[in-house]
Amino acid sequence: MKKILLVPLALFSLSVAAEIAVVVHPSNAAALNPEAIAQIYLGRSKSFPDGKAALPLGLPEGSKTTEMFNQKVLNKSGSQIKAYWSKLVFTGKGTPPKEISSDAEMLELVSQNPSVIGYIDKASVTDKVKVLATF
Amino acid sequence: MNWLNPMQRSLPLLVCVLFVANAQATEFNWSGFMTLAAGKTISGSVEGKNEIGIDCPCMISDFSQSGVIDSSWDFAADSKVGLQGNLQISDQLSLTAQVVSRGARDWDLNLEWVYAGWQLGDNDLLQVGRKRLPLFYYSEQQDVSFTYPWVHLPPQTYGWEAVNYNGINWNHSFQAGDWSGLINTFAGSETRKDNDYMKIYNGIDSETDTKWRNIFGAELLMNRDWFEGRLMLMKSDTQSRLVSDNEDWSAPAEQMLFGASGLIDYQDWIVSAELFFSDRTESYGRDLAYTLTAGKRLDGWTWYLTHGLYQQKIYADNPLELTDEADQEKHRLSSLVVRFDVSSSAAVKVQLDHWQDNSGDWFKQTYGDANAISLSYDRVF
Repeated sequence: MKKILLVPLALFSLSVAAEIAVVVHPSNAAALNPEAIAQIYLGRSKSFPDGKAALPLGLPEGSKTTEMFNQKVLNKSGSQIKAYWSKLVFTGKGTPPKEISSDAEMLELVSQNPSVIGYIDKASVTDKVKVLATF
Repeated sequence: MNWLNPMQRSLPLLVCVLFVANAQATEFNWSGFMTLAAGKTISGSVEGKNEIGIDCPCMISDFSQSGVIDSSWDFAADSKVGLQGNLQISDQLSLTAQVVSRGARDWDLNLEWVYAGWQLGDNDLLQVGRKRLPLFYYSEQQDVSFTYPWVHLPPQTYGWEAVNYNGINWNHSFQAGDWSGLINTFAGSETRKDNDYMKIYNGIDSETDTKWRNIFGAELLMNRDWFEGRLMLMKSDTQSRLVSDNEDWSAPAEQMLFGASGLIDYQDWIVSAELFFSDRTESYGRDLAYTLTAGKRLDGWTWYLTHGLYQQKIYADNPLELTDEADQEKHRLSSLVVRFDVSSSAAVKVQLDHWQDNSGDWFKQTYGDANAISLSYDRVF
């Protein structure tokens, strides 16, 4: 009996670890679809639907969470993202989102600044931030 | 050594002065790119040293920088390294400089770009200084090989006598429903002394100066999801002089250039097309070029097939007195590229090229047909 119960629990914990949450300040009333989130993270849109400035922050380039965010939200691989930003950086037309070192630091920054939009492992979410979407 | 001219020499000093004077208010970032590439022709229709001084069989891989792949393994044609520094002086004002060293130019260090950027608002960016002339889709990133499929940009479409320019441009970005757009209008001029592009025609040891003045142009980019399209239109006057023959500047001749391109990057498929057209009736006639590419990603590998055409039309009674039998240029290039992404910032590529020439006598006898292989390691940092 124990063995049968263990299997579904293991599956459940795997799927929780594989999710990411896009988070904003609790006062941010924005409702963004995945396409709109992508536009902000690709530097094509610089504000939330209400016109307020949007400042996207990212996690380290090589992290699993970033890899998943790139695939699920931006629909691009790490190389494609790098190539995309290289094109803009080398022509002075834009800079990539600043990199934050950890989920904890991301939570701190998002909870303190209404302009910031970030993403973290869904398991790291606390009530200091508002979840816009999960993937 | 091809040292920088006086204006270019003073600009790095200006950058340093600004940096020291405003150390607390400024932020300095730098980034770089490199390509280590080797190429060799496998076969071709011209044998031995050609009229230009190149060991054939040979294949032009980069018209603008006179990069030519010849009959022995050569690291010069496509290898380069560049560094770009950006000084954020205030929230609105920044200064950017880029130095590049290329194998095709004997590894001379060149200050290619220096420009100031002023962010007028969220959507408007004004840039003044020296930067890349946006003739083609990949113009502004043409030295950052990591960002495009090939070892060398399709030579049938890419490469004209002017590469950079001194001037001013205004970028305006906008949203139109689900589309993101950018309009860039630019104006300026470019004088290229000892123009490398002209060495392909006038000889390795020749010296030709060219001038493009009264450059006015605009480009429009629109993208949505997996599609990006671009249109470009510009005009300018063109002049040249063969310094090694003590010539005077030729009379200004107007040219009009037009470009259109589309890129689809959907799931694992990439399809792109680029078209380029020039009206140079006041010089010799017109030029038409296009590149078509299809690519497929598979587990870190990407395969591309490309076909390009360049076709020049020389009009009868043209001011330069060229003839189609002798001077008209027409050639096609079919290429297979295999790319492997070593990491998210480095890639290795192998490219096979098949160049078919249908030009008039001069080009046919100087370059002709060629098959070539190229390898590259591209990196951004």
